[in-house]
Amino acid sequence: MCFLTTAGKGIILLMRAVGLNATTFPGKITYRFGKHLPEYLTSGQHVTLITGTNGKTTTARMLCSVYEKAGYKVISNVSGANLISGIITTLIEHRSIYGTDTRIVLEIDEAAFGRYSGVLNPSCIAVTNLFRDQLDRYGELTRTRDLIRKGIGQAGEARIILCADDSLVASLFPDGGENVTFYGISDSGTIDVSGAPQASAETGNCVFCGTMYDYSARTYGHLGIYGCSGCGFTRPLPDIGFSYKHRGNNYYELLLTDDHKTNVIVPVPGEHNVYNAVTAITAALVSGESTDAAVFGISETSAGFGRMEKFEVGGREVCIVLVKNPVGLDRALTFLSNASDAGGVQFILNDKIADGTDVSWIWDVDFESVKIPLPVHVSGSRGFDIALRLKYSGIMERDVRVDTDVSASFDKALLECAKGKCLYIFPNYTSMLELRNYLEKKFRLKGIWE
Amino acid sequence: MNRDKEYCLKICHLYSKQLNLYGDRGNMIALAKRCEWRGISAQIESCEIGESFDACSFDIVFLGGGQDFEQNLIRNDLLEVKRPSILRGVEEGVVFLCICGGYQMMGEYYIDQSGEKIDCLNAIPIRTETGGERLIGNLICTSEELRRLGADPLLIGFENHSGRTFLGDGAVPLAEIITGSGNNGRDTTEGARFRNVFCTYMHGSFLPKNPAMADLIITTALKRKYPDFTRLDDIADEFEASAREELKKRYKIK
Ligand SMILES: [Zn+2]
Repeated sequence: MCFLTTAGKGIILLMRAVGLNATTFPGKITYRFGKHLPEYLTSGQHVTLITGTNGKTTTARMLCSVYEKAGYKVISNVSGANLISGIITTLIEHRSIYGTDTRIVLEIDEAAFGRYSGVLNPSCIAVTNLFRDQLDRYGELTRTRDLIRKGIGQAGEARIILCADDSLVASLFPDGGENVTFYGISDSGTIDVSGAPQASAETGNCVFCGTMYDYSARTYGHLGIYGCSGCGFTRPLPDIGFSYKHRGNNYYELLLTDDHKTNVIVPVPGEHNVYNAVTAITAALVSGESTDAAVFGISETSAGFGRMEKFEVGGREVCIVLVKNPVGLDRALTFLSNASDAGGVQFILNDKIADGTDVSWIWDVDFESVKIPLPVHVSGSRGFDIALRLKYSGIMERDVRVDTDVSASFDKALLECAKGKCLYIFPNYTSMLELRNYLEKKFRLKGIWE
Repeated sequence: MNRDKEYCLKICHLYSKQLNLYGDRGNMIALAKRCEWRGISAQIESCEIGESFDACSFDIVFLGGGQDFEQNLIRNDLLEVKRPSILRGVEEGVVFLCICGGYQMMGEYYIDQSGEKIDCLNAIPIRTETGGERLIGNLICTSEELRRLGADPLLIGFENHSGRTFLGDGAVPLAEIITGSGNNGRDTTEGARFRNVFCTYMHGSFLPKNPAMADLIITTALKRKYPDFTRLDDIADEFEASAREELKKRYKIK
């Protein structure tokens, strides 16, 4: 085993030395030679696994921040390499800092979680949410839930953290359990349900009996306080409850309804990030951290590349929001229509394997009810599909600028964005990587790889 | 088109809450917009589980696909409540657009993984059996009907299904496959046409991506309702053409 770890590490260094991106290959090759490697690399360590459709990366970043500020050495696959190969690569690379004061925080793809959670020895598992995403890969949303159930089943005594407000996630343990901690909104009075978009179809009906859920509050997507009149399945009462207030464009004020009514500033915009923050806080609390430590770590988090972080280029700000599925893009568009600094928009849509080759999900997105600053720029291998979607949402063809070349389209979009304003960019996965490479080269931006 | 006349189409989205997979609502948006752009009023209504349904009070009925979970939710209502009205609608020439799971349910039966035969609407002469690998990917085919009408015959879409569908007497394929699997991956056919029923495995942006097919569906409905109706005004479909061009280039189709 020790030999494999050293060999893996050697491959990483070698690949870096020749300028290759060594995020998954070393893990792939060493895993092939030692099936017990993950077990070996994680045994005796404190491992947190974070899975679910959306918010894995941001939640992992937030939890890492909590642990870092609390003085731990933290190992995490922050670059988003969330299949088993990427995870092993991460573990091998950082093996030298293993110790009693180490925390391992891993985001893991739902299918990989179903397969490998047992051998990764998790102390804590957090499930963020289940939205419609890349059905061409998993077939059915209930199947994704079953994968997660399978993964939890292999994980022994791990503490399980579930979003109570997501009916599909909560249905994993409708009656809770000794190891289960639910988090969710606690005060429907502070949640504005009026503007909530329609829940996506697959989650409007009770997973147990098929009756339509009744909602008394809704936050976004199908998340909220729901109940089924057919079989009596109701939202589990959260162990960690919270409410939140919108505080300007760039942050939310989150109130934990614990004994102390703890106030938390979430320095990352968007309601979905409030949920991510609470997921991270709950993971820290069940792992023995104090509320103060958890809250401090969250307030020090930055969004990360492609997760609403803003940076400046050429006298304008640029904000990149990775969007991979209908709920993600709906969230991003809501965010855009509330942004007072929007000077331009660019959509980038690729249809490579890692993106999901089916792009028809863009027709599930509610473009009709948001205001998009014009002209709008679109790009990517399926740029014209986005252009078509915009046209059918009521935008004139002459206000849509298409250039399938990502960098050329970015240059034009930036030029057309007024100085002092912000250009909002919504790429999917591979197009975000393309854009990132281009920005690194063009503006010599260092460190946006992290 | 007669500009002095007011045209109006009533469109029904059956089970809009459950059967709405892979952007199926794009097809409703396309029908509505392509009417609106020509000054034709399009009223879209939905009809859900438990609600009574009169297919003949609509000009176009849309039946989309769902995941197994949702299709099981609506199956009883479809077969027990809505079926007589759907049969009458098909008989009387109401225009139907049925996608993927909706296409399969219009047929005679469906044989599932365990070999069990599940009764379907028996509204059109097609049958489906589930089999092996899911057929997933870009699907490009040609419609003889569009070619005859002098329109661009190429249909471009995306399929994702495990059912293998076979056409019986009276049903003709909607199109011939160039690339992709279509009905069953064997006989190069895709979709079905029977009376005014249009069926396909291409979901999501089927009509937005194939404006000639969208216009054929609108025209069929208008001609049935307004016997003196001749043809739709042309509209500039530049983005449609470019989006199609990208895929044609990729698959080297002239
Ligand atoms: Zn129920």
